[in-house]
Amino acid sequence: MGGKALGGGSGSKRFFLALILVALSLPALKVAVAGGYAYEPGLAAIAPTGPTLTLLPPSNGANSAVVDLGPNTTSANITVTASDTMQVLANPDFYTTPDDWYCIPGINLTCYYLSSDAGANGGVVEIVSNGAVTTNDAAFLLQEFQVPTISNITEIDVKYNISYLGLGFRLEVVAIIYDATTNNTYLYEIFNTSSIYTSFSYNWKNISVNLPLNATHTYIFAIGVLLNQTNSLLHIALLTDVRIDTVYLYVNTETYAFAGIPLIINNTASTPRYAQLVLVGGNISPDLNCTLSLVSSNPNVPQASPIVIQNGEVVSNATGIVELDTGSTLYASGYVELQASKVNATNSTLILLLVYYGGPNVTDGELDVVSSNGTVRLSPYRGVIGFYPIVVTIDPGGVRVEALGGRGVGG
Amino acid sequence: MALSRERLLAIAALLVALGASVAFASVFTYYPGTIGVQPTPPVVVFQPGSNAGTDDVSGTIAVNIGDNGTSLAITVHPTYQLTYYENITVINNKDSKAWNIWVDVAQALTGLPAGSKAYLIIYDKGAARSISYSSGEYTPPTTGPVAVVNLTTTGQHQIGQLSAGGVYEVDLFIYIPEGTTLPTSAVTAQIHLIATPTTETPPSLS
Repeated sequence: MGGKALGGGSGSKRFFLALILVALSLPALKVAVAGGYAYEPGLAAIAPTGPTLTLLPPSNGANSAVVDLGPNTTSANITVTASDTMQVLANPDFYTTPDDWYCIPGINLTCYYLSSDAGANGGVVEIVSNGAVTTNDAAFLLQEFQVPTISNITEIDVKYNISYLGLGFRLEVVAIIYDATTNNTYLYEIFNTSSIYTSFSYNWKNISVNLPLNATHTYIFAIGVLLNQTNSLLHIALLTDVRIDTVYLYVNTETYAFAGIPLIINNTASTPRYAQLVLVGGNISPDLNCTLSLVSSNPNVPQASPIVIQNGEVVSNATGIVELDTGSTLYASGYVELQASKVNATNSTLILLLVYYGGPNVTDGELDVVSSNGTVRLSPYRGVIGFYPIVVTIDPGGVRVEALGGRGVGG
Repeated sequence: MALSRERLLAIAALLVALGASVAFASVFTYYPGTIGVQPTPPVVVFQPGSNAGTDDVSGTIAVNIGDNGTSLAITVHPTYQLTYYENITVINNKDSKAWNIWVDVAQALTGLPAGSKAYLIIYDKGAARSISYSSGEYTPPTTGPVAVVNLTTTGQHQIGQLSAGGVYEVDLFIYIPEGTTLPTSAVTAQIHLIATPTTETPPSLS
């Protein structure tokens, strides 16, 4: 039976043998057709490192920006409280520096900065006489300020300390609002004496004011000392020493507003980093007006264009690129500056990416950041490109907010 | 004790078979052949990208290429969140004809914190790059690059046909979740760039 099968299948046998031969020869055919492969080895070594650009909360605890940082300080959730009352002076407490203020000295009266003083909070500015004063004299500290919308000044708060030893003079400590657009001057008296006076400690003076302001005008605020002679025969001031610890200027606005620094950025790398903020999403209400800037602490670094939102519409969705120099224990490399206003008491949320670059000079390429909000095209700098997420919620809470760069009452 | 006819036939067949076997074993056929090996310079080579040697999060982006452009060693220093390295090396076809390019991840990247991502992203020369960010998650682009190679798994990836004189630019996309513990030393992925004039799938080394 089997023999018959074999004999009967002799044609099939040849066919199967042919198939086996073809199968055995396939690898050889494959190599012949392929013609060769060149294998070139590559090794990608990933050596993770801690961040050299870190996020920090505002110095001295801004009371209107609550900052929740990620565990490695490479992300931040920020809630700022927008209020219809805002403090508009920069560096109102001279805490670590007299920056933002200018001194206009008199004949004998001039300004000095003291980094600390008994009873003061941080540094103070001293308006003091150099030697005896025998003629009318005056010296002022001043700075320019602006208001974001139609506003009304409601209050000037000053914390001061006075030592005066003289006769024949009237010593006045005054605050001045000067409207540089209309050339109008408004003077508010904080203190005056015509006799020897020592306050022994710092005192608060709260002055209620009702002065409408126009957002299109430029204003100058000044605080200073006047020595006016009251006795034409006998007038000499042996010591005049007025120390200012804090100066706050509060305005009521038509809208809920925040102006300040909700986030600090520090570069611990040995070389500068270059960074920008990119708006990639959020819940932007149609009444939101907002300017968000990335600012270098180095005053020689040019200011970059901000992210701008007008009436809920995104006008500019990325800041320009800012150089962030290596920071120190005293000064961080830069900060985020936010000015926001809303008509309605509803929250708005901005989802941002802080994008940083390792080196200077623009590359010839482009980088698109794609999100639910659309695409933002960046022109990256050289070197590594890093991304940190930052979420900013603007909450109209109605509490008193602080100044641009300020630290709030009581710091 | 005469043997039966069948047994005689069987013995005869066995003897014939043994005889034939011995006869075949003593014959060898020799066919001449020549194998010529003519080494030639590589036609597809690695070259430094425009960001090779520039500033990294810490130190510099190290890109070392073998003397003949046929080996590559990259060391980068990413940190938490997304760290992106644009155009750190290029693949250059110096030939006068197109070559098909593959990347074989022979040894995957292991040792990064859980949730990390690592991609080799290959673009045509000068192409606009992109990354996506949504709901707190970074992802590499799905359109735009020639290929996206996941370095955390082994496997062979067809990149594309690199035209004569053509250049691919290579980027790295590294994401490390915040709050995780970083490895104390570098972790590595071993890859092979495979170049072939054919369209066939090359033998894998992974």
